[in-house]
Amino acid sequence: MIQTIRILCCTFIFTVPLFAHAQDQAGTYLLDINDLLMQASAASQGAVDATEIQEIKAQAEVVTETIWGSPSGLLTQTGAAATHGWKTRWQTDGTEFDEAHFERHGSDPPLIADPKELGMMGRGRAVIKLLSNSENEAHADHVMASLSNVIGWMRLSDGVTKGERQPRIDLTHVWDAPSRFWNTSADTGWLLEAYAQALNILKTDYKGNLAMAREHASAMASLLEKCRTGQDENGDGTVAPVMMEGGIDTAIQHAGYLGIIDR
Amino acid sequence: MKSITTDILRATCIGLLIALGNILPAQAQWQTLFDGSTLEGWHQAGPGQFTLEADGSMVSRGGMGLFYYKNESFRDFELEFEWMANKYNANSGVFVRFPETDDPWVAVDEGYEIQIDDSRDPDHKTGSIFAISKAFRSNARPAGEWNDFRIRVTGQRYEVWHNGAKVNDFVGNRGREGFVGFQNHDDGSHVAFKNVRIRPIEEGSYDSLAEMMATSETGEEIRVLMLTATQGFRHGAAIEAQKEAMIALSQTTELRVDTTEDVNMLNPESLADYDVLFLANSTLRLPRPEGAPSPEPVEEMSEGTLANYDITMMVPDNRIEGKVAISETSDSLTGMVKFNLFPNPASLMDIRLDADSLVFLWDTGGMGIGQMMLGFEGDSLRGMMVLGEMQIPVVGTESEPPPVSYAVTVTTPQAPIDARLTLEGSLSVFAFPEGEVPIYDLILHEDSVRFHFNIPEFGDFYAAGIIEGDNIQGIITGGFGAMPFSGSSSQEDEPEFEGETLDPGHVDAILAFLEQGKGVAVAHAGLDALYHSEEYREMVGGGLFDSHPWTHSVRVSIENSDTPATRHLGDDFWVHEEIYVLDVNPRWNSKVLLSLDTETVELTESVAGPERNDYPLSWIRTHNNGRVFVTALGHFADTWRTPAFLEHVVQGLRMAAGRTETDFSGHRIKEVIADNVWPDDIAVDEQGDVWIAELRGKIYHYDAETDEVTQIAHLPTADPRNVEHGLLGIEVDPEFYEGSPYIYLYYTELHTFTNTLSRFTYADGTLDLESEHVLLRVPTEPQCCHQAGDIEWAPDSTLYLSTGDTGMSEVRPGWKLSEEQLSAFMNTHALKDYHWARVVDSERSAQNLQDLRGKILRINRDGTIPHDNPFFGEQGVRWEIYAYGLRNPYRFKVDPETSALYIGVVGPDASFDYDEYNISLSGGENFGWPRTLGKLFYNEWTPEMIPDYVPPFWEYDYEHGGRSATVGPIYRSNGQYAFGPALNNQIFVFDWARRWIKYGELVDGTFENDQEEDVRQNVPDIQIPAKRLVNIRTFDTLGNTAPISMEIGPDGSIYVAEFDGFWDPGPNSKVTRYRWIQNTPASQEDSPEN
Repeated sequence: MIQTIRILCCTFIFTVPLFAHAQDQAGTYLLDINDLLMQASAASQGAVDATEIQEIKAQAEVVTETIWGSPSGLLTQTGAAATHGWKTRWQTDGTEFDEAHFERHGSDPPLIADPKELGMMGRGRAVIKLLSNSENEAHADHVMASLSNVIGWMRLSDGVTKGERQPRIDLTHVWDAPSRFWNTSADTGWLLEAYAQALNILKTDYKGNLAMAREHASAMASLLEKCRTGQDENGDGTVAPVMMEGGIDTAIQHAGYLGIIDR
Repeated sequence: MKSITTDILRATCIGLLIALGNILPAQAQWQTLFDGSTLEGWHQAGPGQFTLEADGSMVSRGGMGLFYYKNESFRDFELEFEWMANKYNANSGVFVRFPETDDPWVAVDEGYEIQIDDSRDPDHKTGSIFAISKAFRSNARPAGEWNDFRIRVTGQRYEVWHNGAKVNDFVGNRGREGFVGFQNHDDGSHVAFKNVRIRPIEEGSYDSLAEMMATSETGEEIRVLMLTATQGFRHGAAIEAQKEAMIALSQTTELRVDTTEDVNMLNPESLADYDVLFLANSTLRLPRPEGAPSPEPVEEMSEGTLANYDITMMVPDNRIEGKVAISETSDSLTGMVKFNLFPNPASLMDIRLDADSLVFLWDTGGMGIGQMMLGFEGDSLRGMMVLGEMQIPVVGTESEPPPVSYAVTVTTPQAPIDARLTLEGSLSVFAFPEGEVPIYDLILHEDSVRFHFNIPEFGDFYAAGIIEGDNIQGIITGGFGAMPFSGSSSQEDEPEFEGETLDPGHVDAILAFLEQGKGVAVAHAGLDALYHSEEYREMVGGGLFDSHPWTHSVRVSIENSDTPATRHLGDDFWVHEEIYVLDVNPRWNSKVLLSLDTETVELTESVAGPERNDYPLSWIRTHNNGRVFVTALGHFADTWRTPAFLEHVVQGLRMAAGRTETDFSGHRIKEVIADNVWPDDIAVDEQGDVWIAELRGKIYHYDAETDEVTQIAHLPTADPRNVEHGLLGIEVDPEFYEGSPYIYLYYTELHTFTNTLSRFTYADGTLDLESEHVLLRVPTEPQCCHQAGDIEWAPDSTLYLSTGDTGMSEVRPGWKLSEEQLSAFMNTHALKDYHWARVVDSERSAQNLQDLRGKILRINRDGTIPHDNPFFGEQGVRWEIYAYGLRNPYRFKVDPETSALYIGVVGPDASFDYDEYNISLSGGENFGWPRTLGKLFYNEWTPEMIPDYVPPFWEYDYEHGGRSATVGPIYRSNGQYAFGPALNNQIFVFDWARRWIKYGELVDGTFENDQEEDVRQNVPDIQIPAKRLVNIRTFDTLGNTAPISMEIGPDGSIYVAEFDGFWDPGPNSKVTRYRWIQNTPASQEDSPEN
């Protein structure tokens, strides 16, 4: 029973003393995301205009850093991109789960506890958490739907396997979406398309082919633009704050309606 | 000894005569006997008539009569015509070479009738020489369609082609000249004939099989002792036919055949006079001593595993009591029948059993083929036995099968547990020391069993076992991983009939005979002999008769056409035979010449059980310095009268005598090369050294030159328990010995829990962990499971990696869903039920092209991305991805010739789910997880909704218990230890849970979905052209270990990592090596593994 209560209770590092404060914090994070997205877009445009492949890669590295808060390291070496393991960046210390689980994974708190160290992704997930109990459900849902299209429809949950209660990191939040949702990239987040594109640029040996690198940079720029503007999935002429449509602009707009930012 | 040239020339000539006789030059123009306009020249003998029809045919009416062309008789000729039956059991035929008559029975008795009636038993089926020579196969078209017949009569040889396929080849002894005509059989049979023409041809030069087989030159005699000791009751007709043939051949060939039934001829002095001992249909039982008690029942009537019936034939003034036992193998029905008036049970043929009726054929022995037709009336049976013209009423009831009980030992991770397994229909139980649990979903075949049980504290368990005689062994899978069990039935062995078997001296004489460099030939029932003699068993290749589930027409594949005994047979032939299944597969101790085409016994796909599905029908081997030729064919007398088969036997005798230049090939050996390791994955380099990775991080090197195993590193990695982290994959650089001494490892980083592909440098007997160069990182998650992690090289030296979805899509999310929500979900998608959560979790990994999980990835050796990757340049997609939609692709392999990828995927554990095998031909394929796996499309998904979808080439469900589909190499080798044609170009597949290693071949076929487990209200019928794995055969089944990784060495050796334990090492884990050893003089010291 105690275990269950521990699970049901707030198990996240981002404790929220006051609900109003939480909403304000969410607004701050959203504005940060907007600024970071502008930085990323500027970097990608710089890549498009670059005259050296190395410059394109440098701008791609800026994009990776704005998305997850840390560079890939691929400017100086070939091979794997540096990445946070889930243990490093996830906002739980694991102790709320089965003892055998944290015996294996350790119960130390994560190295990174501040969402601001995790770029747009960390802030975005913090916003989702902060708004999930909002009193103004409609506007909060519009903010969260638009933001989820950008960062992915994921949640932290839990489950039992082999007799052991384990966390389910990034468990897909929706389960009965139409099949076209799963065939888009909105389910896992448009921002990760841009991240993938940036890593691709960093991991490709262009062998002097600047035109190809620029083309790839241009694709990165358009992916970041989609994160901002969203898309008119159903073709009705508007970008609605719903699944597969809204982007950061829509999230900001509805955050204004929610009263958590002043824009 | 004659020259090899002479042998080849002779065999080629005979082969041409046998196989290509139909293309000999024409001797005369075709002569029309019936052109559809008139019946002039035709004469009716006996009742009934033929009528001329408007469509240019003539049709039989009434009967039984004979309608023949009376204008001319013929000697040697080709006759062609078309015929069409009004119903499938319409009876007619064509008579040839009978004298002028008004009595139709003269044609029956003095000519030969080629039968038309596809409903009849094999002796009287379309294409048979009526009651004399069975058709090789039925090739009839449905009633109402025209059929072609071509009949070629030369000398005493009668060949029949039906719709282009040769269906009979028979040598007779009746008149050399006569008329041709058709039969009108009865009122209900209306068979139409048209376009009847004949062409006289040059007369055949032979009047008998022996003449056909005659050698034109006199070679050195081959002295053959043909032993047919059978205790007098088995294969009598076949033995008489083979005696007749062999004695005749003594007059026309270099064979000098003596025949005997006296097993006491098996002594050194008597055998000294011979070059070949021919155990022809000899079961090698001694005659019953005079005055000894009757051995009856000679053959025990065993209980059927599917159903048993007590039946009574109501003959006038008597009742004949009998029993029928029907068993179900995984592929077909088999059965036996025994009556109190007959000493031995007989096998059933063409069994049809459904809810309403039971129908079968059986050979009564001296009275011909009987057809039993019984209908069910409640618990009773009632019907008819048709035997010739007799129709005998039959009544019966279902009899209760006795329970089968096994005392077994279950090897749990903690300790072995003694238990009792009782299989008794719905009363089946598994009794443990703590109590018994009921068994569910019991499916009991003759050779296998599977069932399911539940122990409340530990959950569900699935068991699959192999039954061999009184013994049972298998695997239980469940919460503790895989637990072997084995045991035997508690029934006591029946005492053997005293004096029935040979004494050791007889066997010693055979072995001594071989030791002198002489030969032994064995035909058919020679494999049903001397079960007590390991020496005899080994001599014939390791296997003896176990069952004969198929007695019908089958296609025989020629596996090795480069021997005198097979050179004349082309690629295949058909024969109506009793097919032996042996208890041990002789393939791995012998060179196989012929084998059963399993498709003709309806074994095609999805053979995922313990069955070996490999049935050699003829093979050769050396033994004790001598040569052994075995053919498992020869059950029926008419087989021995077939020229192609007799040529096969004659050449086999010559081969056994050593009179031909024949490679008798070798045998398989299996050896342990490392037994102090706990292998998870292995890699074999170009020198045959083996690099071994353990799940908990230890790495070993097996040096092929010194045969020593050395630990070269212990890599820190994450604890594997419950999450399947750890050291997952190993590869060795393809230029390891050319300046790139690198080992590649895929493992879980200790602190970040990220799965990492890294390159390490090997030097001075140590793997330098400080030299790590990280090539790729794949995020993982804290929950169980599906890490996959196999590494393979492409032919272009790019590196492939398999990654699992790390998901738990089977597990319901933590938030609760109401019944209303689920109901709405079903309504939205028109479902009658739902597959839980398939659309939820692994969408974010396996179907997510921004994520590296649930994929096959491909990178350059330095970690950069190859420009020819399928998604390279596509916007917003990780370009390392080569193929996607994979759940847990634990092992995959790259075809070194075609670059195709073969991927084994472990599927979910629900009872309706599948494992599957995929092929990636060019990259970019989506194998569908979590929207589909195996044959099942989850919830609302269809192939059209899944981008880039490619169906699997093989898949299987829980029918045979737990499963872990993994793929092995594509075997292509001509190295020193290569296995040759049997394995070349075959794909290995193996299953960790079921412990078998199989192989098969890919063909173009059709994928079909599972409609039974589909949850839609309107279930779609999905058929997609796809590569499919067929002819799946078992290479080996491991005992107390599970295959977990498999490689081919540069010399053709096959390496297998044998896993034991689960999260920690088990005592039996090891790395083993299989090799094919040629029969060089030095290799004679190697003993076959069996």
